Amino acid sequence: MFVAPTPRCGLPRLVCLFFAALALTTFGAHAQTAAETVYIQAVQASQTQNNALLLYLRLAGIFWIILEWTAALVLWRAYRLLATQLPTLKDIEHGSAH
Amino acid sequence: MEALINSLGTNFNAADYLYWSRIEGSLWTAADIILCLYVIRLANLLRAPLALRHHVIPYIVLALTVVPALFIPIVPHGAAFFRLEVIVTIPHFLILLYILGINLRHGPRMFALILSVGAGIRHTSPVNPDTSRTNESCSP
Repeated sequence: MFVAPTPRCGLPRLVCLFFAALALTTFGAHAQTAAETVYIQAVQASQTQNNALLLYLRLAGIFWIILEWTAALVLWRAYRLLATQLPTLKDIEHGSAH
Repeated sequence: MEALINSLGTNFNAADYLYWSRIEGSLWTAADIILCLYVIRLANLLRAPLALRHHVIPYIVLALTVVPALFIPIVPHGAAFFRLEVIVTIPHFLILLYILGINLRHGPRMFALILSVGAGIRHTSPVNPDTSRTNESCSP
């Protein structure tokens, strides 16, 4: 049977690792690669098309926002439902035990 | 098609992109915070009947991400926006990953608890019209 790991201070470790990686990539030496150079040249050559691409990204962002808010509201409602029904469940269990 | 792309590109530029990025970034970050908050609360709610310790550190990490999130609507340029989004949202994903991973072994018991709560709802509801209708139709 699969057993999930239970590390001590698991989340702080994960967060610290992430910030260490972020610091390394942000402040580490970074030379522009050939692919990046080609990309920048392509963007500069067709600024109008690039602007259209940016608009597409912003329109896609609207769908992402709707998705995230829907998930957040569903979770909120699930929490409220369970929070109100868990005491009832305890009462039922206690009632059946007696 | 080319004309459409050209018209879109001339009516939308990088400055507009940053402006709308600020607004959209604020909206999805707010949703992220609520989502993470209720994932933690749900996990704690289901851990309590199983006599498991409450999650506290995820609350602290979430609270720490709220501070930089407040600066998203006023970031000066695109690179700063991206960096700020990474600083705020990656800890949120780590919180979700952590909650999922740490509660995986208790998942079956939690699921059983949710199912028994569902049974409790049906048990305690005074009148269920659908059920009564079904009973009527089934009775000889």
